[in-house]
Amino acid sequence: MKRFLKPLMVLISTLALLIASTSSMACYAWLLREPKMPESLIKAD
Amino acid sequence: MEFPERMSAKITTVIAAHLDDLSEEKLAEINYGIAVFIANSYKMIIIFILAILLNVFKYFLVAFVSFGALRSFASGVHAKREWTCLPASTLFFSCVIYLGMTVNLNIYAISFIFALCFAAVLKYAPADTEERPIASSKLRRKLKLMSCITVVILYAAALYNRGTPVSSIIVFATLFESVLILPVTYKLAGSMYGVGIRINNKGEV
Repeated sequence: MKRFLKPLMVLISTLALLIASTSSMACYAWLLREPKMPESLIKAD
Repeated sequence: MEFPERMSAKITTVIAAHLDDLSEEKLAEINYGIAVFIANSYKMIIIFILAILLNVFKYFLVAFVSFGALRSFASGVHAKREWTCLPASTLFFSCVIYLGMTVNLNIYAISFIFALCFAAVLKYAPADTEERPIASSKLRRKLKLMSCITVVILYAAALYNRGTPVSSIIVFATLFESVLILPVTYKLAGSMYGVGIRINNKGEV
């Protein structure tokens, strides 16, 4: 079980990072409430 | 802390325990990504099941895709609390589907409503929030352009399906989403409009 845990965590982290980075460019939260975005994802000129 | 944030914080703690080479910044981003996923997915599943039970899944899908396509780029006001979000979303989609199924719009009404929506999108999109500010003016321009293109595509889809409930559902979904980007809606919801523009002008978050 433990051998699968680390790859699983890597997979979840990668997907979460993908969602986080795309949601900084487009609105993912279609259904009316969005969590607070971390400052590192706020793009400025 | 709301339910999705609580859950994502727990999952992020487990991730941090197993992957020790992640920085605080990356962990915050992972935490946010998981929270976004949880906040959307469980509500989507509930609303999808409700639509299937009420035998309006086809119409719900039309409303969901039309609304979501425009919302992805134009954004708009969001519920402040988790417990208000699900009833608000359900009520929103119920209204769109009910109006779409009962009101038959002619070509003039469709064109008039889309002209209003286009004007709103042209003036106010992308309407960001305090939770997710869009500070980059380059990104804002890109999102505005994408929002305008989406309205045009939805208008074409509404005209193509005119005379059917699908057309009216597309029109009402676009209209409702356009209302959600107006500054007056932000005022009524107690949210701040144009946070990203303020950050960009003053250089502060």
